[in-house]
Amino acid sequence: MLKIIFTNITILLSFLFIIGQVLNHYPLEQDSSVRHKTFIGAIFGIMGIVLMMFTFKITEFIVFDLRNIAIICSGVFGGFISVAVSALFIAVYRILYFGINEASIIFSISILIIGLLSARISHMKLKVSTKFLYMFIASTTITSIVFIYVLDDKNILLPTLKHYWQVHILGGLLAYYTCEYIIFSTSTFREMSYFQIMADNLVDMITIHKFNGVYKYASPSSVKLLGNNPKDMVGKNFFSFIHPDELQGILNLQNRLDKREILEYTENFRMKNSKNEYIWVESTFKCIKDSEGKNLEVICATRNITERKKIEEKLRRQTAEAIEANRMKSQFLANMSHELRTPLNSIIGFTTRVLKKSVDILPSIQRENLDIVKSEAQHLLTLINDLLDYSKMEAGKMTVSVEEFNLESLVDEVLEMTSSISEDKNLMFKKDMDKNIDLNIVSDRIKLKQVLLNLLSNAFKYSESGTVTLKVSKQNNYIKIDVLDEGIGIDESELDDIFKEFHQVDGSYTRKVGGTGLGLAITKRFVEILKGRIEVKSEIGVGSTFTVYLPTDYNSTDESLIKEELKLSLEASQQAEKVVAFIENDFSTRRLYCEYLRQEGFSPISIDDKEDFEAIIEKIVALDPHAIILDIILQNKDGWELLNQLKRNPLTKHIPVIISSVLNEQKLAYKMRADDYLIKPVLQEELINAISKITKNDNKVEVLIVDDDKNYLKLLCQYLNETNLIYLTAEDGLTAMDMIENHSPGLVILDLMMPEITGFEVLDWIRKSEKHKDMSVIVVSAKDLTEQEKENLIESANMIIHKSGMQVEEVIKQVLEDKRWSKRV
Amino acid sequence: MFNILIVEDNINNMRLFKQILMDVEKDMIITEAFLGMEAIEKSKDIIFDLVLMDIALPDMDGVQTRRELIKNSNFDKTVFIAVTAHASGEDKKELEKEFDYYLSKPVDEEQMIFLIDDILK
Repeated sequence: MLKIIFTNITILLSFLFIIGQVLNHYPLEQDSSVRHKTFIGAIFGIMGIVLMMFTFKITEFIVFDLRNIAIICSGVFGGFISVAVSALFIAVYRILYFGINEASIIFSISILIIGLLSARISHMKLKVSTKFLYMFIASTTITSIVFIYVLDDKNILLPTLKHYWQVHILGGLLAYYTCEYIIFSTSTFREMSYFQIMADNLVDMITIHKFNGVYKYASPSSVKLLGNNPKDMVGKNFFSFIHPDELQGILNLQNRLDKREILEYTENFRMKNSKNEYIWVESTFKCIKDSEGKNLEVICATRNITERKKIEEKLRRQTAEAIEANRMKSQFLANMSHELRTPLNSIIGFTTRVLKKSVDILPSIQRENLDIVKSEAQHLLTLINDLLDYSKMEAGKMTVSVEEFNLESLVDEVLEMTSSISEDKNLMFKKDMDKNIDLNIVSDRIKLKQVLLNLLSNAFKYSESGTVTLKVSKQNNYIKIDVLDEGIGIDESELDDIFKEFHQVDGSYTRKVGGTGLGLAITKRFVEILKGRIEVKSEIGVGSTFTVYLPTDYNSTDESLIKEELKLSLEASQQAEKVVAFIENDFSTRRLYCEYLRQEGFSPISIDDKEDFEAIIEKIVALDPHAIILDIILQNKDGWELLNQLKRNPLTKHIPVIISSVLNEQKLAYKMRADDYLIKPVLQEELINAISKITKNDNKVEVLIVDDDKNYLKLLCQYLNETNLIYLTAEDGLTAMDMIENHSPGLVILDLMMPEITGFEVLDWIRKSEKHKDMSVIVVSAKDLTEQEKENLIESANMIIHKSGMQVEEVIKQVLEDKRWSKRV
Repeated sequence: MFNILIVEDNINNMRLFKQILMDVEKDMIITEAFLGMEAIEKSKDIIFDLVLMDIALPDMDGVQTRRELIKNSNFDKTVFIAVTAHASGEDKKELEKEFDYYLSKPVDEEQMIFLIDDILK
């Protein structure tokens, strides 16, 4: 008995093994070939034959066995052809065993029908759940076992199995495992079909090729990408599609992939499409094992990046152009400087020679003429130097090269250089160095030299007699350098402007003394670059004092500077005239604003942005400042929220708030009732203008200028600055409408052609609004108006001015003469 | 007797430097070169005591010319002065690394005479 059990188990196991192997090598696919289907049919046919060995005869005509399972599987997985083959196998077995009789034919036909039905079912794509299959197998197995017990021995057809019901159980298990394997295959098959769907529908083209480049698979997206049918792609060589320029790179990468140096790579290259044009694609390559698990294949997702490449190319070109332009500019400046200096060398040199050698021969008037030539040439030279320095600063090209040096020796050097100016004048010079301090400082020697040179030569230039004093002392961590003269002095009203570019005090002196008007601007910028500051005090007829504060160590920590800042704000608060509060995150900006405001006679108070909103507002209420300057990006806080709270609080809402931020969010700011908006970096002039603009006359805005042309706005502003009018500007329709709502200006100067909301719409809105419908509106536009538009405008606008030739004066004249609105203000 | 080489492409500047050199009260022979290559050619058989070198030359720049010249052992003891219109602070720093002295154009006559006089002592 053991022997028989062992034989049967061996048969069943080997059978199971064979089926598994076969299925493994022939994965179930959707479009299997006839050969494949026949093969599946054969497998299930053989399986059916084996299952028929476990047949029971219930009555003479009712025979039960498990061949049905085989035939059903054959139908589900193989289709009609497989069913036919399996049925044939089973029929042949039966006929061989029992001979041709009625029963055999009925059995064969019934089995064929079952198989065909199952094939039909599989075509209907009915889903059979795994649970159902298990139940089915289990019930058939149990039924078989029950039958063996219940039925009489003689009812069992196959005598070999008569007593070995254990073998029968194994037969059930065979069916069970086979089905399980099939379920596994089908679920894999289902997943595979999902992948198939994905691969078929992705925009990216999915391909698989061997290492020699021959395509094994291409997804249908190849039509979109290359215009090639996926079936035509298979068998072609991937490498033949690549642009020759990039081929070597791809081959190298693939080699590395082969050696497992890299696991995947993404590369941009050009591929040839069906029209023989090259398109830019980006492919990601990854190594996979083929179905046998031996050879490596490359799976590759490819997408079209022609558009992206175009944009990249454009950007790259633009960047290159910008860099080139910048380089050209620098080169141009360097060349210009050189080219201008070379002839000046001859002019100054020869003039000097003539003056030196022929001084006795020349008539005095000619000598004077030559003196003029020489001094003008020298003047030209300083102009060139100034311009070069200035353009460098503008380009942000100023670098600070820090070294340690002795201030006294630097001062001596400068004196040497300026001695020629003071020579002809009745001037005394006094050097007052504090002997007790260390005069070795760490800073940029050349820049400081330039600063001292400018200040001293100015002092000599602007003085006719008296003493020029250079005083050096120390304050905390700062070296204080005073340059005092007893010259003509500067009028108080002019003091604010002397550090501005191209500004010179009094035109008549300009002619007498000469200069670009850049000297002090450069000086100030240099001092700022060196982390210092410069101040000036002056009185007409008495003299001027320029004071430079410079950190003794350029690299020193900010700690000392913070102390300095504290001191500054303390000093400021003591004066307590017009307090301007500012809430600003950045240390250096705080410092800068502090200085800007102080110079203009405001008392700047910095409010710590680390405090919470309540504390800040409390402080503001206590200070009741003239204006608040608010940064948007604060320490862990949102400036917008603070703005909101300030404008809601009845105690603070009357205080004008100027936003100063690096963000470009004017629209939002005005919507949130901010009074002005400055984009960093903020110049002193801008800051002061903004403060004086919003604090004048309780915010009563008289004129609003709306124009998207910034230059035109600037031009108008310059003219308006000369009047006493309070004005606001807006660069687009939306901002304009916000401003009209918030400030109700007496007059609007309106441009018509603006992006988004045009002047027409703004005008329409004004006329329709209850509150503003009587507002005076002057339309200024460059647009050639149609008759219809003209008619409409004549009705709704108070005046129409054509922009041609930028007749600014005319616009301003109209503004001033138009009494209708000025009465209303 | 001193041998002096002036390398300068601008004919007027050349004339000026020659005149200025005449004010240095020393016996000297002045050799002119308008190009870097010319300077190299002319220096083959003469040992120069001093070279006034313009930097922006049409064929090769002054720094390069100097480097070529000093390959010749004739120049072992020669003093080089850069005379240039590249007058920014950075230019000066760079040039002072290569040259013994630096004069910016437009040159100050007195300064130049003083310097050369000092060198030729």
